[in-house]
Amino acid sequence: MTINIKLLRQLTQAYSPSGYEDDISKIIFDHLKKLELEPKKDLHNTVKITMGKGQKKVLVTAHIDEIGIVVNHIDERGFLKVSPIGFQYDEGISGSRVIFKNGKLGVLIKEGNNNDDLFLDIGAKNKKNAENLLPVGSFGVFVGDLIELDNNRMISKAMDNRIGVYVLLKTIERLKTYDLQNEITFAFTAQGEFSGLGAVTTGYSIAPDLTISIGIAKATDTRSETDNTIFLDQGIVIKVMDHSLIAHPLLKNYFIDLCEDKKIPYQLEVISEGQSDAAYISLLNKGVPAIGLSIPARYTQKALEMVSKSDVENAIKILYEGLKGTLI
Amino acid sequence: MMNFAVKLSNGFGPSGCETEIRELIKQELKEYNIKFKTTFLGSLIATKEGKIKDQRVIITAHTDEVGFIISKINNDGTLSFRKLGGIDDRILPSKKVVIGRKRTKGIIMFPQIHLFPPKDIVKLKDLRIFIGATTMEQAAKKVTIGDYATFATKGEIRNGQLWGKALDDRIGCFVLSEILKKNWNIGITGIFNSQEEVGCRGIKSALHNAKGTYGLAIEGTTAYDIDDSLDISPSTELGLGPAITIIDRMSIGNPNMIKLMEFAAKKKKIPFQYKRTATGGTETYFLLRNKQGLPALCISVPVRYIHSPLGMCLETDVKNTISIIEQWLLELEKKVEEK
Repeated sequence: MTINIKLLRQLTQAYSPSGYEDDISKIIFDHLKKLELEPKKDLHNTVKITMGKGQKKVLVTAHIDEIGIVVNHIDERGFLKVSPIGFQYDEGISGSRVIFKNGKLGVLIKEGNNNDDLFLDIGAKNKKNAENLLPVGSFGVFVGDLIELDNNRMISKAMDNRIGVYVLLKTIERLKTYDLQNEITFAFTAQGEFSGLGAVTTGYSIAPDLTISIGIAKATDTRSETDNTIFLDQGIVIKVMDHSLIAHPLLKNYFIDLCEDKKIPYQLEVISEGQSDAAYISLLNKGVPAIGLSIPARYTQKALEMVSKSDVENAIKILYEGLKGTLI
Repeated sequence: MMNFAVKLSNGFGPSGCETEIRELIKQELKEYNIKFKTTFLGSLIATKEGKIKDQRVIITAHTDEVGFIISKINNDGTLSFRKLGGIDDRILPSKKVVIGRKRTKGIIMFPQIHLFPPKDIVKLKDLRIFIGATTMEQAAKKVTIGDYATFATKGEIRNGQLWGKALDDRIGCFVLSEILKKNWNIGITGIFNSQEEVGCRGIKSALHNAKGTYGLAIEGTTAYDIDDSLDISPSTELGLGPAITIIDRMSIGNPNMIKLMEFAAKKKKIPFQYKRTATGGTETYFLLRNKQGLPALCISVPVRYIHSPLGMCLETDVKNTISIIEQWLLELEKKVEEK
């Protein structure tokens, strides 16, 4: 199995900050149509497709939006004050390039120690000039083409969570002809980086018996990390616990046993940060058994995020094998 | 027309104690063919039927205001208290308050400049309310632990400006009341929510009791248009009309609904502005994620000095907020009927 770079590039390069996911949701919708499936799109831009029949209703999600910024204020000299959407400012952000819906570009600059010192320079001469180029309320996303590096590694903007979208699309493609034992809804959800809106509204309308969300996990094998627990190339990350969810034990054991059985590499993650679609859905209705499965990624919540092709392939394999089965 | 707004501003209604505000609204709207229901958490649901049967707009405003709750009666007759909602401790010393069902008057005591250098920062835990009592027994005759308190501010209209407390969000309650007085083709469910300032609690249960297909939250929001020396976002400015929220800390306004609001405003030449900070949370969050999701947005009246003893907004901004919502509703009705 190889990675369809053309598709992944299309997915990662779409402009789709939280709340304005029109572009990515159209790409996903059209792709599913091309697979001769019947996707549906809801008012918040979540795309859904249901396959199979059976006792249990399963909801599998991947969020489709990406981190971004919004313009709040333009000062007299034409610099833009912006707020982050879905991430926190830190050292790594200064110097990142940003693009807006209308194609205008800018660069984030930090001059000083406070996060308030961060601003966007779009090359404007003064306030009026900047207002014409980018009015207050404009949403921007990071710029970063998909690049293939050595050792099967890839880096791009919005790898969080377009790589999850890719995994879901490929899994759907493989499961299409399979006689499923459960009724499985795949949902490509809006606003996962922001308020979990797509997960909540989809979870309400589907009322699933269990849910799995596909995302990315922060790889801690980078230079600045001392606590190395999650590594690139070491397989899918089974999220045992994060800030907002403790994995349902039966689901956790199901995927661990499956990985052992099929000899698919996996890693277990216990962290005190993090938020996922699964966490939002787990609290809905009468409560929903939930788990998150993730692809390890370096430099999460930054302009560029790095993943390994082998982890992506393994993620598709585990999800495919897992959904073929009875689950819990 | 604005008299009712002043009345609402003067009402006693810190979070969890909104009965008086609910009664004021019910009284004001009693002749307008509206069905009322109060939830256990104290939100007032006002339902108005329209000709269009299957579509409804849920419009929310919250009735509670930031305030205080008495936590202890001290031996010297003074009262210790906790805050309800986000109030800056720096503004508390030497402010007049009213407390409890007896509406006892009090003042938040402060360290006097003669004894304490002004640079000493006041801490909430050191502040006490003095109500004229000098012993615990005297004080206990007037107040009990758990009594609510608000700033003692009497509102007034001055040169087209409304000065008063609790404009966040009594001004929203006022706007919503005016909307409910008119007849609409589309059904309107007005929700006057309780306990917004302590974490949007009222709306969660209220939405279980209300059906709708569209959502709108009406707020009184920050306007810091007073300091030209700082080149920062004022969030909103007085006099520029109602503020449309594109994004706040918790929600992103539905782009289609925002477009419809802009269209309505431009058609009738109603001035409007955008809220220019991504901070603060509103009830829009709960409307957007209600059940399968509603297309929802937030519109606000710009108010200076919210969450303080005295806020200020302009009559023109209030009237324009009513106009923009009315025109938005008309456009929405058109859109629904075309479907």
